[in-house]
Amino acid sequence: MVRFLHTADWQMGMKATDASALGRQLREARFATLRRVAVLAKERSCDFVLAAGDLFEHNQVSPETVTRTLQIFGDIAPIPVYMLPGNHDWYDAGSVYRRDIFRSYENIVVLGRRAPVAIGANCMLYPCPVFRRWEMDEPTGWIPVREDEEEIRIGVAHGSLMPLAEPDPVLPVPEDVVTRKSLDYLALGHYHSLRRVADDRVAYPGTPEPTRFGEADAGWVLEVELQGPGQPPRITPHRVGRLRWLEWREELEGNVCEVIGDLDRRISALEDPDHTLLRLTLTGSVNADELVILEDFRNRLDARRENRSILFTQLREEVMTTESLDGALHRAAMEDDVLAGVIADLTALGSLHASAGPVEDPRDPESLLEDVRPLEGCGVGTEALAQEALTRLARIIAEVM
Amino acid sequence: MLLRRLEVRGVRCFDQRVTLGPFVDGLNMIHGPNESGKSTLMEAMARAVFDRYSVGGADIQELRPRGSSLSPEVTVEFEWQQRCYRLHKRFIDDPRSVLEIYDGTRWVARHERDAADDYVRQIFSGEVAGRGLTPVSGWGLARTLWMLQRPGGSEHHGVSDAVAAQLRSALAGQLQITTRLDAVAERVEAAYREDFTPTGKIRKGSRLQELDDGLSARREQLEEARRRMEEADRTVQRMESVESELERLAQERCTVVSDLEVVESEVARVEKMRDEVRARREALSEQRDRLDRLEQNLRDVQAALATIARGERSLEAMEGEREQIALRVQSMEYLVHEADSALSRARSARTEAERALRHGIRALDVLGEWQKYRALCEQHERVWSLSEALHEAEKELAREDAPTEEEIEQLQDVEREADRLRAMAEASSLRVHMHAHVAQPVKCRVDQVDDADETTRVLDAGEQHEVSGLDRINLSLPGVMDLDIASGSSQARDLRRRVDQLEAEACAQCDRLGIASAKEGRDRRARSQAIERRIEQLREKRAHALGGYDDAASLQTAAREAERRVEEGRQRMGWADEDLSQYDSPVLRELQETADKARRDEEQAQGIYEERKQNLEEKREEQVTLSAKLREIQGEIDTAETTVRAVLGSIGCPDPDTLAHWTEEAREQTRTLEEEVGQLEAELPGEEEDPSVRRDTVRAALCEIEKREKSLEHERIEVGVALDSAKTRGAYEEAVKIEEEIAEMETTLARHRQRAWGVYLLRSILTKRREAAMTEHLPGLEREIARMMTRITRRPRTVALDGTIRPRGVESDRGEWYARDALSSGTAEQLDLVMRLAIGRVYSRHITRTMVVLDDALLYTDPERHDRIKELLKVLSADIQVLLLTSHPARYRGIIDEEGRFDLAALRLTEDSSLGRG
Repeated sequence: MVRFLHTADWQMGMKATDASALGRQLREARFATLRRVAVLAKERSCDFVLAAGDLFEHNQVSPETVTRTLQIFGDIAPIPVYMLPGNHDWYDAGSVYRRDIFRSYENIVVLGRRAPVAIGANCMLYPCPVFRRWEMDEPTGWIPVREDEEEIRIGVAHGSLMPLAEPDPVLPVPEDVVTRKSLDYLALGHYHSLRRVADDRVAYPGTPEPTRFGEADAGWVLEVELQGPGQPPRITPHRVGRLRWLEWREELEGNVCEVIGDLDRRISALEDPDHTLLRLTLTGSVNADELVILEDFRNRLDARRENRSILFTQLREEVMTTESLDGALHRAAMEDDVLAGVIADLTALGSLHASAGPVEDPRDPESLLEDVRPLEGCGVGTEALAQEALTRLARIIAEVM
Repeated sequence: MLLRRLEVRGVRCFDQRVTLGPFVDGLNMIHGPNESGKSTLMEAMARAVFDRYSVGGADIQELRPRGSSLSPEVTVEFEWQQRCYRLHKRFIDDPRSVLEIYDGTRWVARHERDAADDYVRQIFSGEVAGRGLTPVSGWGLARTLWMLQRPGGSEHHGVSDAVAAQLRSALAGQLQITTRLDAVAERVEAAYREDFTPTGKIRKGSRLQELDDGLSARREQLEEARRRMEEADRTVQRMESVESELERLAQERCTVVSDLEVVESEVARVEKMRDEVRARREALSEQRDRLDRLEQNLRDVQAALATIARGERSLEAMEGEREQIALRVQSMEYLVHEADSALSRARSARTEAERALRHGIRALDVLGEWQKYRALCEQHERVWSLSEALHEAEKELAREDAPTEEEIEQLQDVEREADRLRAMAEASSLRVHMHAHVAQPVKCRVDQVDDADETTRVLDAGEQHEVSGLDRINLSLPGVMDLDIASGSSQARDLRRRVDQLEAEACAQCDRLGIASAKEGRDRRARSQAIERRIEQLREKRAHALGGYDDAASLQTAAREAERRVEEGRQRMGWADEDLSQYDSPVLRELQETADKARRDEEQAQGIYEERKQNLEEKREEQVTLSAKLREIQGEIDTAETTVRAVLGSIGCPDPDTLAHWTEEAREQTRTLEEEVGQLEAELPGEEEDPSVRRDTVRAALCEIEKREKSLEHERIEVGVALDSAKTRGAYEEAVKIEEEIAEMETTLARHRQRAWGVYLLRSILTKRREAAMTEHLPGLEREIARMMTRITRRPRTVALDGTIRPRGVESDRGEWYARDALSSGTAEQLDLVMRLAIGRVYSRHITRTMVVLDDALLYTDPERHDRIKELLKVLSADIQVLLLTSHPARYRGIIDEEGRFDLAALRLTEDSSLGRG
């Protein structure tokens, strides 16, 4: 019987694509998670730990990242740690796994060759390392079929489990390889979500700490127990991830002030905000006066992030702005012809949908185009600029009047 | 703002304190000559009002008096919205700015330093001062109303936004709303200024610029990090390539080493075969040497034997030949003797013939001399006769005695002159032609030159008669009339007298020449010439007849000499008769032919003799040669026999046949050895199949592999070092961190950019809308300006303004529109002046009373319009304060009160003066 931890896709040294401001913190969080996994391996008396590829984000990660990672795995000696190069840390002359520091840890074994590796007396590991960044060949193809061996056969590979909907997948791994090659378990890496197939004889543990928004069912490592050759594996998932990547979508309808207020309250009520990353997408429509409310909300979110009341927020505004006025802009337009003209011009430029006619007519399109001509190449669209200008005007009028 | 008092010290030409004031509400004039400091006063006032007290730099330094370290000080006392202010400014050293307000009893300090500056600036709607001097564009109201002396200072450049807003408010009468709009505009402007310059460029140091710059810097860092990554990738690829190549070389090396072993064993086998071949070749060489020697001996013996046989045969043949030659020599000796006798005979015959020939030649000479003598005698006779004829002709010529050609010419000239004059005399004489109708006696008297000739005759009826006279004719017709006709001229008489002289001269010449007339002279002359020609011909014939002799005497001498020679020859030849004609000429030709034949016969006999003698000599030589050859052949035979004996003796061979046998045996042995060597060589591999060549090739390949391996090992070490460096650099994480920063900055920048450019758009549209609104309120101002212009120019004018209150154009009374630049300098100047006055009037009427400064504003205006402007200023002074600066005070006489006049020159004469009224 063997018991081991199956993990993959740590992506140490990764880039925080969706939360670039938190890059350093997110990378640091992965070390903390890794330490929890090390503790788990010792607690569960595992025979070994198996990392199925992409332990590192890239072959050119910093020495510090490598050293810290190996130190954590080195601390669980004598439990061996088998590391398989994946498509992010592929095994070539410049591979991270060929750095000298790997030879400093006796319990760390780099699976850099496609050759069986004996684990104890009754278990044989069949590693399928990746040698190139983009490999289209089947990595498990080399594994020999079982002849008359009596040991437990474990395959470890990094790739896309077939069949898949996507054409020409990278590193295709046929789903039936486990039966064709008489493997007792095929430990896979590459997908960041937990996935178990073929009666648990094939599994992706997913990334132990999500790397971006939208990675569902991530944050796990798998404890795998194999009683003997031909016996079904027993998998126990352990949650090790700590960060929460939340995605909210809210429609602005009716009283925008109320909706925004409700959102404020929900955010304040979030549990464990220190480890929460929130992406909020606002839809619906607001009028030019309400743009100020949105801007205030945006500023409040920024303030929350800055004063650490939440780890990270991201606001996506898919909001349509309408022309109807009922606030300061409306009052100003009623009182001052010049301001009314300005609002009319900006409304026209912002392509806003009219629900109540402005006091003044906008100038002719040719004249308006003259106004925006100097803005060509500033990097912001005319409509967005017009809405921004309306927001600014509304705010100034509110202050002045 | 109304100016009340101005005090300056330490400003350019004002090193002492100078104070002007108080100024009146209406027209004021500061006058003085050029360079008295009028414009400096205005500039000092502007600097005090618009520049920060702490302003530095060369421009403000330039305000100091030349060569002085005084700090410029200016005090401006002014009234604003019924309150009196006093601004005291000091620049450069110990700079200060103090604004005081008059509370009705005393001056109270209100603001200091920047606060004082800002307050004053607001009053004038000026812009915030920068670090340097404030440009005119930032002077606010003064930009419009102060018409100072500076480049382009007289032209009206429109009003600032703030002033335009004030004017618009004033014209529209909507003070409350416009104030609110101005507040909005001010805030928009403030927001705009955060990121942009007034000209629409991104302001340096603005947040937008900072973000942009930061982002650019980060992107450059990212590029650098990516470049390092790519470099690392390339290093990895290079290492992969090196390792792959090394692996391939290792495999190749195994193959080559295996090949080398096979080739080495093959090379050993071939070497053994080659040793065998080499031994056989040496034996063959020795055998060939022996065979060569035997063959040489055999050839020598055979050659000697052949020589002997040939010599013997030759000896036999040559003996017969020697006998034949001896017989032949004998017969030839006889023939030679015979030829010698014939030669002697021919020689005698030839001697005889030659003697006969010589005798004939001598006879021929004598006869020739005789013939010559006869010819000379005939020639002498011919010459003699010609000489006689010549003598006769010469005598005839002497008898003729003809005058010379010149003499005849002279005579002829005289005769011709006499004829000519005679004709003239004839022509000038009187002639009367009479024709009688009835018989009539006529007595006619003709007066000639020296005499008179009178005739009387009767003319019958129908008879005609002509009389002529030189001078006078008198006709008497008895019973009818006497007719006296006179020419009245003496010319005919003179001519006739001259003719007579010439005729006398001609007669004298004829007498001297012995002729009657020139014609006769000419005839005699012709005859003389004919005789001369004949004499000449005779002379030529005699010269011809002399033939080379000088004269007849020498010819005669030659004939006598010839006669002597003939006589000598006759005697020599023994001829008795003196007449040699009886002796025939000898047949010289025959004698010559006989002599020639005798000579040819002798030559022939000589030839035959010599030929036979030659043949005999040759045969005798042949005989000697043959004898020598016989002796030579005998010597050769003897030598050959010696050789045969020596060769055979040297090799111990008994006879030539044995030698031939021995040679044949050796030849056979050689052939056998050659075949053996040939077989062995055929078994050896060819040059192309030579294993040693292949061995060399394989060894070279192995060397090449080893060399390449070393090189690759070296490269691997090099690349390994680079790779280690790349691994430990962690370029990926560097790039990741920069990318994250860039993403964050981009988010911030996008937000800020939207905000900044949104403000830009808002400002742009707001400005447009405000200008449009301003334009709506402009007609009032336009009408005001048009009225003033019409008043000055006395022509109806219409003026159109743009949003910044600049004249777009002026309409003439003919309805044509002109831009300002198209106007005459005078009219343009007047328009600019009127613009200021009109704006000042609107401002004064609707906002607060204010001042207009005109510093020598009318340079191009004619006196008539100047007077109208004076009137206009007088009218306007009810609304606005006008400060005129001029060097021609007389031009404004009559419109300015005494208290408004300030004589700057007089003022400067009084140090520390407080009042300078002129």
